[in-house]
Amino acid sequence: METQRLGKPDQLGQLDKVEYEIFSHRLFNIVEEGRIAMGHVSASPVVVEGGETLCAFYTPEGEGFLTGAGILLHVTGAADFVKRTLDWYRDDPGICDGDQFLWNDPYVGGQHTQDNIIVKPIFYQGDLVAWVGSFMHTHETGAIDPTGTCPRATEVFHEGIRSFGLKIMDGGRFRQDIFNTVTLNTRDPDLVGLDHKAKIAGNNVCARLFLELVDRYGLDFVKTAMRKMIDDGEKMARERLRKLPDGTWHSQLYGDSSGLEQRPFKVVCTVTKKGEEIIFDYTGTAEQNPGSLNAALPATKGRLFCVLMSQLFWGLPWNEGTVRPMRLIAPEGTVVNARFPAAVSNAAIGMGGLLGEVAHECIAKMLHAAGGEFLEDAVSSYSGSAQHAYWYGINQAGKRFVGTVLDTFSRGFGATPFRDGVDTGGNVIAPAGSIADVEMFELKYPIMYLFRQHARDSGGPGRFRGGVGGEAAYMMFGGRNVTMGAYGCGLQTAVSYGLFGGYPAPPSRTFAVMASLLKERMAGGWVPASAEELASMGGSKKELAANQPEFAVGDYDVVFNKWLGGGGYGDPLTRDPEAVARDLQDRAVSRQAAEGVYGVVLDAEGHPDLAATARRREEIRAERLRLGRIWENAGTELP
Amino acid sequence: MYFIGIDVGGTFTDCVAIDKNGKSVIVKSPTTHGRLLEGIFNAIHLAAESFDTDGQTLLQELSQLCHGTTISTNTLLSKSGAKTGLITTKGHRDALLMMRVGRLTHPPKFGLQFDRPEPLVKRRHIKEVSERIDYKGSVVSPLIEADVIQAVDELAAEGIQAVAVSLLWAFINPVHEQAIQRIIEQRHPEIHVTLSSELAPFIGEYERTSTTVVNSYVALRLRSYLKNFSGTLSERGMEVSPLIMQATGGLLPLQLSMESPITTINSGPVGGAIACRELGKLTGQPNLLGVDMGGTSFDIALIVDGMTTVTLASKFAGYDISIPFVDVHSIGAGGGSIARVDVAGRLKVGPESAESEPGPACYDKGGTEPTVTDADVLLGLINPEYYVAGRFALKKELAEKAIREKIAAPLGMDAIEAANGILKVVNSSMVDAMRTRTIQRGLDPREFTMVAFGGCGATHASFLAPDLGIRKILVPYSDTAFSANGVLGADILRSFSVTDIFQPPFDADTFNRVFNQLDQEGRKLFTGVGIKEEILDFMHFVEMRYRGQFYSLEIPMPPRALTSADLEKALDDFEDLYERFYGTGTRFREAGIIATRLRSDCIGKLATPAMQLNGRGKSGIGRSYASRKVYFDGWADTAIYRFEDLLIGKEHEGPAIVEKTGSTVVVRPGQRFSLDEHYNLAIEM
Amino acid sequence: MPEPNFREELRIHDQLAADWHGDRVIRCRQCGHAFGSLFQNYKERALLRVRKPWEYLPDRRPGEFVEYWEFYCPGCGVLLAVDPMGPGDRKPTWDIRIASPPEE
Repeated sequence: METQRLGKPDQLGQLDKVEYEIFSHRLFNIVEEGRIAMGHVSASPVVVEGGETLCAFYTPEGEGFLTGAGILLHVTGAADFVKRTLDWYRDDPGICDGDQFLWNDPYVGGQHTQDNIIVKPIFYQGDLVAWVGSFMHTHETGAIDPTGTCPRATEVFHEGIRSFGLKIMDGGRFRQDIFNTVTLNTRDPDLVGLDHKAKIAGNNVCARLFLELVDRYGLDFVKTAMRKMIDDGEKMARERLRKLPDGTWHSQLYGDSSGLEQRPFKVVCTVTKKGEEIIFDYTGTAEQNPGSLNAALPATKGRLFCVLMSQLFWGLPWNEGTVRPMRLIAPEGTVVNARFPAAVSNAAIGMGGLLGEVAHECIAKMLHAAGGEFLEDAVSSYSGSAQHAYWYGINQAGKRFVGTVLDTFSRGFGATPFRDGVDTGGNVIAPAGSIADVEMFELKYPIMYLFRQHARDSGGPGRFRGGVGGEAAYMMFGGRNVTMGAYGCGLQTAVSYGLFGGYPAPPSRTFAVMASLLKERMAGGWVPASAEELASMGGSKKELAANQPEFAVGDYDVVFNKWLGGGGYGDPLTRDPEAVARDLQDRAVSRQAAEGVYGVVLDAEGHPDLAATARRREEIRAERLRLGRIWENAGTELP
Repeated sequence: MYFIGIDVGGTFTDCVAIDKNGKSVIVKSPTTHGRLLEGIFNAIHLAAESFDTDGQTLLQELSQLCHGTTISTNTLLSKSGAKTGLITTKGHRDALLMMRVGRLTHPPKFGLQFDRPEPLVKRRHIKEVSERIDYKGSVVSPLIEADVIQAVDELAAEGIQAVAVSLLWAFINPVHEQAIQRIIEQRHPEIHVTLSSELAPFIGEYERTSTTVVNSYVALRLRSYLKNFSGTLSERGMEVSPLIMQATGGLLPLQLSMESPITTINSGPVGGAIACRELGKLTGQPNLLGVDMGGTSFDIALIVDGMTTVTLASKFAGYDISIPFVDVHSIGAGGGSIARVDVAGRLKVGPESAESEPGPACYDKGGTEPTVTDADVLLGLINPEYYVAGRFALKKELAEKAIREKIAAPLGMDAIEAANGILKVVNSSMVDAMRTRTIQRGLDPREFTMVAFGGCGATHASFLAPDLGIRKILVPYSDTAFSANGVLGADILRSFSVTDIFQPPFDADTFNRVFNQLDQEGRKLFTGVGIKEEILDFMHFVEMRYRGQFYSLEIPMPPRALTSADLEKALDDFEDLYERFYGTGTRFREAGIIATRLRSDCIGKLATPAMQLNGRGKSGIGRSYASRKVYFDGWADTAIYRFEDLLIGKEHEGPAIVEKTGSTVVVRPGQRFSLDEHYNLAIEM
Repeated sequence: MPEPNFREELRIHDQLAADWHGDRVIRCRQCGHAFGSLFQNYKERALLRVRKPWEYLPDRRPGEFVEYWEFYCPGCGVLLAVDPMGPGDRKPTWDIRIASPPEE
């Protein structure tokens, strides 16, 4: 290594622009290295394919200055773990070189008990110079229900073991006693164990490379650069806010499950932007739920970070400085700031979509009013809630397993003023995410994929159509003592918005078909490939609740899940009829929707009849004018 | 007796020729797009002249012709492949389009919109057939032939030329894929068929399907090119059958190459990697980092312990290919990379490129964006009067204007500072990419020698190496035609593998049986196309992982009958390598270690003579011909050498510039350089 | 759809705009219908129709918890908003209130 110190800060504390740029890039590469290392070590599809991992660096005081491109929900929440480690353990048992602390309490940070975080102090010549943290969603916590997102939980005590900064590495020594305690308390110790090992690996990789960087640039440079990254983030965020109109935007959505039962509850967001500051106010949001459909404050903060970084502050640095101009008002005792010890395990999947989407809708309308370069981010709904199925039992290799499926990480993206949303585009909270490989999944779990495909009509109609989500059917195959359940939100309400006359994406749907004739039908040469075909094979059909406690399933029992597409943009009657015809051919839209909501008349081959379409659309507009009532004049009788 | 390697690149067709005594020649001739054979013959004629003969005679006396072609790569890039259809398992028609989301880039992009590459198969040309096989290979639902007949007839009616067949678990049990192939052959023999179970017998529904589709898409173009190529050559007197370079890292006889067209994709850069490996053998260096910097891209190849490294999954033009290829990692950084100041006031370079048209500003072909080459000119690294040996004058004032207006002014710097900034930023992104490639594999870059080639490699290498702690750089004699060297230096190679789950404790008999079968398969295939059994050699590998994990590590095994001690040792090797990657505390033997794939590389050793360059160029004057100011974080008087003037073994001090015919070698202050006996320029620091 | 000119008109919505430097009345960009002041909720002067949600879909779903309030321009009938409304919602939400346009 060259020992020459590059780019020492000059007397003004100014860093050489070029060296600073190079340093930032290298640091980002390091957290990416860490994230990739975690993916290689983990055995969890949530981590490896869902991309639910992240490495990030913090200042010695616990302020995040740089984060990798994993799951961005945890950037701010994880900083809280570093700060709490400092608060609680500085003196006893002390914070030493070679230590690593394991946390997962959702009232301190993260989203829910599945979010296991290991933070590691980095020492240079005896001084604490930074922290690195590695985060992972581990889908088993030893909770009342498998996976840790619990249809039956009413308190956080039901949601699995909670760790409060256990020294899993103690002065460079691996603590087998702690490791055994936190893994053997769960239903799948090997999976949980590899995940913990993966976080240790991520921290090791990041810390080693960070110290090489300190060697190379010198500590003064690195310290100045850390501060500058945070300050730059804030500066750029304020600059961007200045370019936007001042005003107030408002949005509301409904969830459909308390966690324990199907029932509606409201989430409201009012965004006020003035000058260089922006306030997200959730006043008016429903009281906290008795079940798991709640978010503790750290989870809400984490979700908002994600909202901002994906849309309003797109392209700006991912650190705590960037969100400094933001203020959050989340009344205590509501679903966005649940009081301890409320159950909160649905914070990420169920609540997160709701509280994120209402903020996104406000921002989309603000960006639209700003115009120009901001228009393309005036995007319709793209990150609503979903519902995930899970299984628990003995797999084909005779091993106990907890399996969950993250195919909903291919939801449709929202439409914009210029284009349709991306079909099965991904999950915006996990930019590195992908969906499971069918064969890898079948190898690991006693489950067979009957189909996984684009779901017709799952995107919100509009002048530009929301991207379609997908649908899949999972058939039990070769397991023993298997039970299944589901968690999430959005079967009886659409956790999705449409923009400016575009429709929200329709809700998710999940049902099971049990004790059917499927085995015989398959042996005879027939495989079902749609919800309709699943309904045609006899047996009993069970519509699942959004949060469905476990029930027993046997071989050839099937569960169907359809997930969310993106929201539409603009009046669907203004969509190009040719585009609707193409959608019909590509199975993105049904004939019924093409005619009913888009007003496009198609011939038997699916070609649009332009004259008939114009007439049909005129009729629909006339009907709107005839049946609509001015609200001001309607009084209490709504039309 | 002559041995020829021909590599067709985007700009030049390179030809390396060696006679039986090792006398060798490297020539370049412009690539003739649309009529590639013309450029190839031009190059062969040029080579023949150096041997005082003519092209016809050279062809007649050929004992070996090795060829690297970009036909498949270009077919994919220009979307000019066959009209392709896909037949897949009912319920899974969208797998190809969903691409398992397909945002996986490095680093991942965090955007609200993105575009997947245009599918190579239209949605209506994806046909489902009712069938199902489970993970054990058992038929759960039989194939319905009526479905197949309907599907293939519809595809044929649509004018489909090539059909990819990819069914779930076909790599464990190919019976349904084979039945489909029979039906297509009976009803529509003119349609080209690729089976996933034959081409890419690996786990991964989407990846295997994508691979199969890419193969179908490029197959017809490659086959017709190769037929034409060999037909024309034999008309002109060539008697041997050509060997075709593959991205798997070896050559394949023409006939076998036609059966898996996909493996010629990216074979050019792989040729560069092979050339590095061979250079390492020649100079006795096992660990090499090959860096190929051209106009638009920077390719990194790793040679570890004398072997190329392999990647199981690659992406080309956005399409996934999961066949083990030699790992050549490419980033968008080259001489033509454009520098700009972004909205946040940060200096960025690339990946956008000015390409060769309009090219860097200094080319004076209408380009106004500042590029890396413009910065190099302004800093004095490149002599504008001696670019490509003076055949092409550069306009320094245009370089300066572009950098001053687009970079220096917005950043509040002077033009030289800005040019130096461009140089540093592009160099650091290349360094970051190299770090990632080495560190991810648990390798320490300081243990490597850098091999710099491509048009710009020699200019930038001396900035890159110190940043990685590398102490030695080799600029090969043929640095601008290095891939052709690799094509000629390669052996015949094909991999055979079995994907399965091997549970511990491992059984030596089982492993030996599988490896024997794989070796036998290789022997049969190669001897069937006339390769002599005595030149065959085998290398064995086992892929292992902790139970439940998704990523494996590959452990080499001794190529003989294995004992239980060998397998015990393999477990230790696995855990050692694992801990080297992921650090202390990450071993986890209790979780169980499983093997997921056994692979045998069947190698046909070729008796290509080594290049002998001795006896040429010894008459050099051994000193610089000029001196000028060059910017190395400050102006320094720098000696300028012509490559022809250098004497073998004589050492010189930096700062220095060595002007080669097609490239410029930069030696920084404090570095030393000399010419070795193989005419490589060695820079040490 | 013509490219909006944000310097002359303040577009508060894909279909609605007001002249910030003029009368500050919200107008339909298709038909010119006036919805009243920029500082009032345009939805209160739009045509409202309450519909069952996702009724255009061919497949039937479990019962829904919300209604869709659809708002149309009284002049041309263009669809302006589709709002999910639940039990207890009595009044259109006021989604867009611009206080001042972005800095030039």
